[in-house]
Amino acid sequence: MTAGRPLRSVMVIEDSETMRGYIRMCLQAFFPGVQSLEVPSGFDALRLLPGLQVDLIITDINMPDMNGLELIRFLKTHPTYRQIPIVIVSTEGAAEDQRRGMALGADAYVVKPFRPDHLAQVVRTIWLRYEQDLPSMPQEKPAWSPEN
Amino acid sequence: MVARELNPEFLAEAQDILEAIGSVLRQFEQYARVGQFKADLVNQLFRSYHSLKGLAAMLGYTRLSTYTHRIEDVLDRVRLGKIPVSPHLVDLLFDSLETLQRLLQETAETAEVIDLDQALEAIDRFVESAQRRVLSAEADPLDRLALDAATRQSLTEYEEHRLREAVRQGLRIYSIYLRLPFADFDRVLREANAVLNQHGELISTLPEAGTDPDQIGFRLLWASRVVPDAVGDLLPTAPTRLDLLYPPEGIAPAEPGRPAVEAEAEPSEAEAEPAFLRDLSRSVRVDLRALDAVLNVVGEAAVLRSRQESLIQDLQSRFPEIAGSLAALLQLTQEMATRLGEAQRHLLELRLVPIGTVYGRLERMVRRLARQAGKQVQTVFLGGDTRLDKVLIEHIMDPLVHILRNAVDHGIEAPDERRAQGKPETGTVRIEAAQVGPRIALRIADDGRGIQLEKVRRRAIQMGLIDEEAEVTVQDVLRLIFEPGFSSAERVGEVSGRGVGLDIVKQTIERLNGTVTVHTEAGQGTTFEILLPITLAIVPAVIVRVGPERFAVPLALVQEIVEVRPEHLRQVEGQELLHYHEGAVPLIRLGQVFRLTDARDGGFAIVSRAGRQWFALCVDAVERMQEIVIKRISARLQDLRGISGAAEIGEDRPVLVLDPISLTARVFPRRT
Repeated sequence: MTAGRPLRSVMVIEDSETMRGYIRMCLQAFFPGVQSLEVPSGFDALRLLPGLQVDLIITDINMPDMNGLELIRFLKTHPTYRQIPIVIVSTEGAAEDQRRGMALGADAYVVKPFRPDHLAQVVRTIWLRYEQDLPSMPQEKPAWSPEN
Repeated sequence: MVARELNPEFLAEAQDILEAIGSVLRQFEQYARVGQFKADLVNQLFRSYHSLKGLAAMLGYTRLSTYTHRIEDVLDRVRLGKIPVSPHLVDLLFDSLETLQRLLQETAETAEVIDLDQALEAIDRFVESAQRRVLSAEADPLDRLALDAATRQSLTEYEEHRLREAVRQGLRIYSIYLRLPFADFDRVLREANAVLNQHGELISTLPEAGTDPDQIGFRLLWASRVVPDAVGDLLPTAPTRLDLLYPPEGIAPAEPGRPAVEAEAEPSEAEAEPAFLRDLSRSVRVDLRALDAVLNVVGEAAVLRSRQESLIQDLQSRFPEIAGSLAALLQLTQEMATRLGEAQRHLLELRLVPIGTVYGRLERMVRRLARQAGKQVQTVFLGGDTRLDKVLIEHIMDPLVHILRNAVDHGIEAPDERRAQGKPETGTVRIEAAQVGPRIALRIADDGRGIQLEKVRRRAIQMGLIDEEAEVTVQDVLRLIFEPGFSSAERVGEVSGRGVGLDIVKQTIERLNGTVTVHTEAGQGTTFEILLPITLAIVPAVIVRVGPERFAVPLALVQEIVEVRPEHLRQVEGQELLHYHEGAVPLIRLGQVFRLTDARDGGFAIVSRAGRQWFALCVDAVERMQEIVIKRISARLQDLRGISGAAEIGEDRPVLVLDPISLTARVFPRRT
């Protein structure tokens, strides 16, 4: 078992600028070298995703234009993006919405307000799980091989 | 702690959220007054409070987050149909803005200014009385919709409720598929959303994965009265598929006979997009200090450039043999001046914000004051898009608040009194802003009883400001109300001015290089007019010389410049007086005040005044007029009275900028 590939890039989808900054600080404090790609809406996420290599997505649920659940459903049914782990960051009042997010395939949720180490802990757990469950990430091993 | 570093961002974002809530609330109010439920507005309000609560909790502002949470909870019940829309709800929400503003202030000042328990109890009482009895044991209307499980999962609880509500109301529910080019899907989609919300309610926006990477699909759930045939024409692009999910075919929707396409009645400009929905990715928030720093650098570059120019001119006279090259160089440096000037203008533009951003705050205040005073007051705001310096707007708030407080407290009459005079029971306060040349004019007018001139005159006599016998004109009386400590208020209630008189208003405005005047007419009302420069950063100034030193005097503070001739001077009780128009004003010799020169000969006098105190500043020479950028001087320096800052004027050293108002405090310490 290897220590796994370090977490390199995280997309943060959150309409509050301050909250995006907070999540970025959390990530950078616990995952040295991680790049945080921050967007204020689901539309922006959809626009940017095709051009990016994203390891993990952190999304709010209550957002303008398109809610986080709609985005999660899209990502988890998409042939390319379905493999990206998703962490929901949402407030305590939205328990039902969190449950729905998990049912749609999100991997974890963190309830606001949260401490930086708590978010980091959740992200680390999810990331390790993905790294171990999916040893055949495209960048490490091509989907095809000469033996096939 | 990591979070507190984000404090300035938090305060800025929180302020934005409050402004946005205010603007949505004013739209919401127009519907709520007639008991109409406007789902998108309620949801926008809910989301704003929700964001604010999340932020406050994150940064550990417990009081702020607790309070916001409770209001959010109320709105959650409203949007889920458990609490009806009513004027009481509107009042609660407007009050909440007031409370939030003060709780926000607490976070910056670390002092508690609000009784939180009391504020929370008010919410509880409201919820208790407003809670709707929920009827249960009803079949879920959603079961009547042909919705697949995955789609249903991706609806939030709220969206599900809205869908249910739409079925209950007998609206048509459509599922609209749009396939859009990836390049500008968000633009087209936002366009479609706007149209759909105008003619119904867009409940869900579901992106759909497809095979073509250049396209992206969306499935929209939309509730409306619009008939199926008319849907296609509404949309900016033809749908690839359109399904009617409800009612099942053959069943007529409720209320037939309505026009096929019907826009809901809109209050004017109601659909103006709130700031927080605008394209966030194209703007950044900049600290004003950062902007000032750049402005300073550009200013310094301009100074260097002007030195360069005089150096070139010097070289031209000494080396005629290279005159051609020097002329070219001179042209270059002059072109640079144009560019630097442009940069300066652009930077100054960035500091400007529409004054309308504070209208919401003022309106809430008037509403609260009117309620406390038992009066009916409506506010009319005009010229909200007039832009002025952000810092100026903040400084002008206190004077505006004071004037508005006077208008509500003393100006506008009680409803029965107004009715007796044949006036409408509801008084009006108009706040109007406009750009007038390089200045901004703010006009605050009420239609109340007007200033009672006789009362002011009597009070002035009591205070010894005028003689009982003195003949005073209306203008004289109006000037008196700006005198230090002057107040004719007979009773000091919650609403009246907390001991701060109009003299502070006047001083504050004068410090901002502005002026304030007042007009009044018995029974008709009072109008205050404030003139301000658009920006504080650059002010026109007069550069004067005193002995070996130069000073800058902001032009706005200069009444007149006169030559000082010995025959115009006289001594009274050790004070030198300058004959000025019909009277005399004290002469302040700057050379002596700043211990620069003892010379007592002529020169020029800059006539100015601080409040009621007129005076003349004696200088050796008046050199020129120039626009200056005033920079603050460190507070560590002792006794800066008389000096408001320093400015570069294109010479070796910066010059000090005179502040005549604090200068008089230095020279005449015991006068008021």
